[in-house]
Amino acid sequence: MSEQRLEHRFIFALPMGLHARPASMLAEALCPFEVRATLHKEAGGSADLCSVLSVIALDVKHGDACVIEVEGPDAGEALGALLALIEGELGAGDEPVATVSIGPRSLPLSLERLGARMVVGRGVCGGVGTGVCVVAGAQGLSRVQLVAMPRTVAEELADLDAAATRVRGLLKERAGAAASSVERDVLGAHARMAEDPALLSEAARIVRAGDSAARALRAAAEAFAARLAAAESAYIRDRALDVLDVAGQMLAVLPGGAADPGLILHEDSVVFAELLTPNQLLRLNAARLKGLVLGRVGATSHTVILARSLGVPTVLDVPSPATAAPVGEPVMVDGDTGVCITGVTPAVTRYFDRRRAVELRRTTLTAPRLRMPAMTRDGQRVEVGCNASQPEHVESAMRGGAEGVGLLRTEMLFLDREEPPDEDEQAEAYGAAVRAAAGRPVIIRTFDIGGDKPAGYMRMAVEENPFLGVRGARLYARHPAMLRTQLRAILRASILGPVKVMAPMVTLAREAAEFRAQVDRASAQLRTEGVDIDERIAVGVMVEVPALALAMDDLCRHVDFISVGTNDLTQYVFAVDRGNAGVAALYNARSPALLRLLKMIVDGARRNGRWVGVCGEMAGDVLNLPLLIGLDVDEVSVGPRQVTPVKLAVQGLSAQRCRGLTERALAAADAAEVTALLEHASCGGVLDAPLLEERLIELDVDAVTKEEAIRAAVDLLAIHDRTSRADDVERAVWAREETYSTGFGNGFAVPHCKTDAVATPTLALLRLREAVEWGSMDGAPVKVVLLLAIPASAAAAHMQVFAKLARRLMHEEFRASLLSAENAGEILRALVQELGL
Amino acid sequence: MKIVAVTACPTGIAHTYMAAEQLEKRAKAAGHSIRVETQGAMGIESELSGKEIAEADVVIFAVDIEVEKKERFEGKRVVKVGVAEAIKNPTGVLSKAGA
Repeated sequence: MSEQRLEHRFIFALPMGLHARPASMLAEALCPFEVRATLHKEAGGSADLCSVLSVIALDVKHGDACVIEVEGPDAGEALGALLALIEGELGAGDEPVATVSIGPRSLPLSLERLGARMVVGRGVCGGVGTGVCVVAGAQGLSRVQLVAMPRTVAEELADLDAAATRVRGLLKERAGAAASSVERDVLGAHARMAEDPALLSEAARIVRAGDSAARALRAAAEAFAARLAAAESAYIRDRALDVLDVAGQMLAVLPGGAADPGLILHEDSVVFAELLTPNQLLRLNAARLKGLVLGRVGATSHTVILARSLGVPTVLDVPSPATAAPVGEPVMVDGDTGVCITGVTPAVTRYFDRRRAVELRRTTLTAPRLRMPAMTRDGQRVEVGCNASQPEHVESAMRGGAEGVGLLRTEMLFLDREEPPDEDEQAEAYGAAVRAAAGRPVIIRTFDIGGDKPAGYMRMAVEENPFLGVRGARLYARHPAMLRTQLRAILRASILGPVKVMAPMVTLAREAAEFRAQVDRASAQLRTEGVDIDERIAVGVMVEVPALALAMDDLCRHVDFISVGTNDLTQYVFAVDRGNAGVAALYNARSPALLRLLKMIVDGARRNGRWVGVCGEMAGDVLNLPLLIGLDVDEVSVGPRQVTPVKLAVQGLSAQRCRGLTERALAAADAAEVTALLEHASCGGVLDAPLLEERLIELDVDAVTKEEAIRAAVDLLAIHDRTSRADDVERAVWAREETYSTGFGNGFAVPHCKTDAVATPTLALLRLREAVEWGSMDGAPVKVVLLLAIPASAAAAHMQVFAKLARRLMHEEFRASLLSAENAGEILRALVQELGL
Repeated sequence: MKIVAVTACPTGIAHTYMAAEQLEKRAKAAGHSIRVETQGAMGIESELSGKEIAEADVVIFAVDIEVEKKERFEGKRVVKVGVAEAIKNPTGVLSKAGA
């Protein structure tokens, strides 16, 4: 066979750069070929494409110019395979890792003013945990004992190989038995690192130069870790810890190596460490691990990803964590705020107890509303569904109040693999989602592959313009067997709960008719096979192509329902790729042009008696809800985390007012005008809440300091949805308090603020169990606290009420009536009467 | 005695009006005639007319911030106190003003 040398230049397009997953895909693609493939970065540097580590360490970023060089008898075929991958599947599902990073930001003042000993960092996993301080030493490489034993080079090389094989086997075994998919993915990635040719050949080179396997392995791993740590991409820097982790495990199994005994947690503990590897974390007793306080561990590291999946409150970027707290002393980690309290006092405990109680009150208050159907205040039903691709997401959305799955994506099952999934695998996957929905309807969308998310085995041509090419339902005629298998699997799942099936990217009504015929055929086939299915399964399509939106009457003859995919519809209406920064500004779902098209779609569906849902991102933005309710959609389907806020928002709105607002939006000149309408018009939601309600009056409040009393008043606003930014309201109140005390005497105080952290002018009244010191004008402690909070742009009418209240408070009889009232209702009546509300 | 006063505090939500109420209450109780202009979050309310100012025997500023349209009071006898003082001790403020 002839030797060949080929080159290809390209611009690297993945947004997150060339990280571990695409690097592994490239390495795997090369396996069948007899070639040497090298990736050169034009800015400098080269890497063996078979070594995932070297490729990652090359630090190729989005937009970098690269050259692939392939040498060997199979060069032509190998290059073809690599290019197909690069132009297609490589980027599938490549979305920036969620780095839920809370802070660094200023602390809640009620916490800061406690004056407790604490270390401040960056919260990356929320929640509060209490335990004793345990310090974890650096794993690893430097701690592992390197016992020198006289061995030959050949023996050392054999040891190295054996260690790699052993660790790889152990990791694969543990991945197989992993408790979660996150854990499985991390262990799988580590198993691949344990067989990385560049790492092992570098170690082997050092052995041949005369060093022991252990020292060689350590040197090679440290060199790789250093290269990764120098990368510009934080995501790639965060992989350095993985290399050290895997190498540490290999060192431990080398002859003379000592296994790291690991930390044993004897009681509820908070682990402090400068560095903590994923393996160290996985070996801790999760039941006793109550928090992590870490130093130089990245927010996208596998350690943090695992901590998040375990729900362990975690704070990063803490200076010298190993000496931050005395070992064995109780500490509290607050992952929401990003602090660890190292000097726990009774006041600290009260602070966190109160915070927990507030959280509990909030969830207790919303829980019954989440169990009720989503309906506007004036009785218009709007189902709130969730978009999901995994049973776990379905489950969490159902807990958050979802009334169904408006969009179950299935393409994830088809990507990243050699062959499409078979019928059993699919039936099982869909069945799991249907079971997770526990009797609520699930709309399963058939595979939406193509364009941005191709699958290698479908042998799709490289298209000039994939978003306008063969994708979604347009593929089904070319892959009838794949569609048939999927429809059979969906139908099999249909006996487990109410299932509907939906096709994506339909352009013509005829395609919908063909899709329905396919469903009927699969259904007939299963019946003749004697398989139990729902024979009346509802069949629908996504409306995301303008041509289909303009053919609603035709379309409705063939479908039972439609779901509007606003993301693609908006892109196609405006001819804008929203990922293209140059034109992204044109993409706006609030534009009157899109709203008018939506109206045509919804009216068309209504006219024909068809159910219509909206499953694009537009539905997940609470601000847009009045528009969708005004257009009269049957359902909004949103991300699992958006379900609760969207459902609560629907319950607060008036459909009648939403319709009025929508009419004005349809006639607006542009998206900015619609946004202004949404921000200022009142649709009966939170913006229309009355100034004062009985539930904003509390008697017998337990507070022992001014700080606690102010926080209790602010929390009352948060509990009753008057603010979602309690810390900001608190800060604004204290800023006012700094000018001079609002305790105006006689045991009364009127802390107040102007802040956009509240949406509407709000008055809360607390009567404290015991009067607290307030620095009042007359020196007397305060028993009655009236918190006045108004938005920065409040209307004068609302402030009149506060002005009147301030004046009335100067009268003793009024004050006496507030002090002597028996209950909140009586106080409310006194206020309403006195203020003429 | 004819008194005119201006009250104004930094946020203009509460103390401006408390001080106004206290001054009005005490002055009336002592048999004086009083008019108070408030300069709060809603801007100037109950604005004093040129005639009222001209006829007044004394002007009281109970303010923590700069008085708006201060030129109206040029040439008048002005007693300036903080808002808190007017709330805490209106009688004292009135006697400072000679009332």
